[in-house]
Amino acid sequence: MTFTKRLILTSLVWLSFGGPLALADSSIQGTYQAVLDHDAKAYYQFAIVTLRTVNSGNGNLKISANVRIYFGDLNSNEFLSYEYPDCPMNILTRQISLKNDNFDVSFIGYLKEGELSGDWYSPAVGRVGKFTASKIAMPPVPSGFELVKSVTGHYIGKLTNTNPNSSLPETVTISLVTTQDSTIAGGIKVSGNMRFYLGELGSTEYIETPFQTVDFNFYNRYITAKTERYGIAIKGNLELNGVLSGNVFADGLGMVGTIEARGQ
Amino acid sequence: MKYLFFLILPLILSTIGCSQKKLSERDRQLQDQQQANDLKKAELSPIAGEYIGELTGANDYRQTIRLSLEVRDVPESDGKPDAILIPKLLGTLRFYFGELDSPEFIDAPVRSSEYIKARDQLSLVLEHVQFKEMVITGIADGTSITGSWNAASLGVSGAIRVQRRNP
Repeated sequence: MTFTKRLILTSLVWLSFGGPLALADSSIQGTYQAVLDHDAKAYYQFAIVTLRTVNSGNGNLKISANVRIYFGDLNSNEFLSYEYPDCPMNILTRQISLKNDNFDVSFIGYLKEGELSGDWYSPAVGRVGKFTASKIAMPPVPSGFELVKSVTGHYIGKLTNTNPNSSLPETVTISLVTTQDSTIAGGIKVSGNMRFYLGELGSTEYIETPFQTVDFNFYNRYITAKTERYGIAIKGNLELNGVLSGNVFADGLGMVGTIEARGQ
Repeated sequence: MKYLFFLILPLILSTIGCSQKKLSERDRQLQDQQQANDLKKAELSPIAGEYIGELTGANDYRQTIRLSLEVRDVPESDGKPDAILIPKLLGTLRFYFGELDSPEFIDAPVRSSEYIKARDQLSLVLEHVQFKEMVITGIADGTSITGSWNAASLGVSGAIRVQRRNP
């Protein structure tokens, strides 16, 4: 038998036995690039899932995870980070769950050959949508879906006075900035300011006040912001498409108007 | 003097006769059992060893596995005072994640087994908290084990194929 025939025969025997017994990327631990879909609203987010494994020595494997969900693109510094100390995975079905009672986001999916896919959930909306993650490359984004915008941005809009006792300037801009803060829940602090233009937008005649507090829930998208001066508060929603809409309140007058501003 | 010889001879013969007393029923059963066990061990020994291969079928995934089997004497009293040591193939099925021998693995012990030499048929029952019980049935010829597996509690099943690691 020639060397070539022997080589072919050996390869066939090897392949018939299943080829390589395991692919290098079929290990569990590693960093997975992920795309999270918001099925109901046709938006998506990027995320980084890090899985860690520890063999406890008695034949059991403990899996822990960290999930970093980005707002904006993958280079954005606006992200929420979740830690899952124990992620049970069934060895036969390959079903894995990333859940933590302290967090409002959970992932249930299947892990095989370096790919993790399934559904993700939040108490605010229940099932948010599908997610796919891969160790090899960023999964394709769903067609027709838009990227969830970051909260950080400059919002230009109109304030409409609805209270006869209120005559707030109606051209407004809002600037919001997020910073990572490990001392607060969720890890993101939102700050910013509000500018009231007395004349047209962009003129030098304006009144500006920073926000004293900005509370923003990244999942139900509810925002509450109170200015440091003039006692003005905004309560509304900052939608995934970057449109902020809500009601405006003033100390002593109650609700004074509505606001709608769009992120630039 | 020659009469003395005839007096001593029956004494010697009776002494020898007493020393070759028949075995009791219990001892005879134990001896039979021991012989059966030796035969069983001889049948099982060629199957014992370390096998590597894969398990397929569950979730369309090819799971790298290592099956380690060894012959162990398992006491079975069956309610009787004398526990009988029955040779069994026991061991561990190791599920690897990633490369073979990677540190990412889960072990499932082989709780019981049955091997029928005439048909080369091997049955293993494994247990693990994740699937309760897994039954593997296949043909074991000493160099490979090929067959199927079933985890009834999860409703999943598939094929298993392992090859002796160091033939």
